[in-house]
Amino acid sequence: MTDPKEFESLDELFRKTFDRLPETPAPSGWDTPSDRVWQFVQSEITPPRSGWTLKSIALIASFAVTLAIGLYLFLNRQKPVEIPANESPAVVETPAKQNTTTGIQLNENQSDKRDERLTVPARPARKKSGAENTRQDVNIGSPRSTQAAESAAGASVHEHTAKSTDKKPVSPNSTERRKAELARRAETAWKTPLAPLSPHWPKLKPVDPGH
Amino acid sequence: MQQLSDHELVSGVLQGSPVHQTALYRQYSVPMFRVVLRFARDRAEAEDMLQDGFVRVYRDMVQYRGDGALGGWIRRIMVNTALSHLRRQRDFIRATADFSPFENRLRTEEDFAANLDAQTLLKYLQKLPPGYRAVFNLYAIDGFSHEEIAEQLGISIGTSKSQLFKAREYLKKMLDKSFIT
Repeated sequence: MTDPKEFESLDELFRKTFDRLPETPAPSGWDTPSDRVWQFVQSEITPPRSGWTLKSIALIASFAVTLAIGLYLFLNRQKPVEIPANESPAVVETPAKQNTTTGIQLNENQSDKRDERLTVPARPARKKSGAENTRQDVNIGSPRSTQAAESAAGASVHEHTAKSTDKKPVSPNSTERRKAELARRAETAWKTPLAPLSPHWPKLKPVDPGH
Repeated sequence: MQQLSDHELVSGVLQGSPVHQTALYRQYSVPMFRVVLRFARDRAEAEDMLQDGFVRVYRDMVQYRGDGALGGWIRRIMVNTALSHLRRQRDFIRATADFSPFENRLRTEEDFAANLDAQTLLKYLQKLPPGYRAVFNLYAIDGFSHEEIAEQLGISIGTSKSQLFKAREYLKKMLDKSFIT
């Protein structure tokens, strides 16, 4: 059996050796922790940074871009196509068909009512603000304006069918109608005489043919 | 760098001052690293214990009432952190170390003091199984009783005593070998 005094001397040896170590770290560095310890501790005790972080800025920027694109697309969809109220919608001539069922079929009673509404001649444009004038314009994009244009087109179709059965009613938003509209405008433009040149137009020197 | 008083360190850390946090670490990192080195099996484990211990120190600073030395309070936290690290090991307390009874007598304290430094003793300590190491550290160096050790480690008093006995014998054997060779 080991002598208890030997154990006590062993305990004392360890105790005194570790208690009497100098305050300064050993030159060999065995009792100095590495820098990663402090880095870890620092990361653990530092409170999270408040304010704008890069992540939040990126999130907000992407949201703003998405919102801008969405708004742009929405506004473009709602862009009005201006058609003067006093202009009659164009009618596309199509081959005559008996009892045609294509296109807009209108109830006779309804079309009559629309005729009453639409055959009223457009009021002469008052010299007021432009905002009032634009109220008479037809917006195709919005439901109400679509209805108006549809009724206008329907009225014209009805008038036309009343005169001749060769012409087929055309949807107000159809490509044929737009083509006809453009053709009509071009014809009008050709018939309109050109305005004289402005008196301030610079006078050009005649070119000397000798040079 | 001028050392700050415990009161200044504590109040600065409680206010979240990075300067005081750094000063506290610089002031106590070396002595506390020496403490946890005794409980760890190597330097890497000791660093893990130290960083966990310091995180607890900063987080629990509110609980420091100032009735004792700050160093003693931090040391207790370090020992507790080291023990919780050891408890996580599966074979923390085990009847290990099939050492043969040593024949050579232990030398006197003067002989050891002349030839052994803290670094060498630390190496011997770190060679002990975790249970032996913990009980020997707590009893022989930190001055805990067997009742306190049993409570802290969740073992019986008898186990604590037997672990201490085996640790001592193991250390003696290693020390004698170092003298013979």
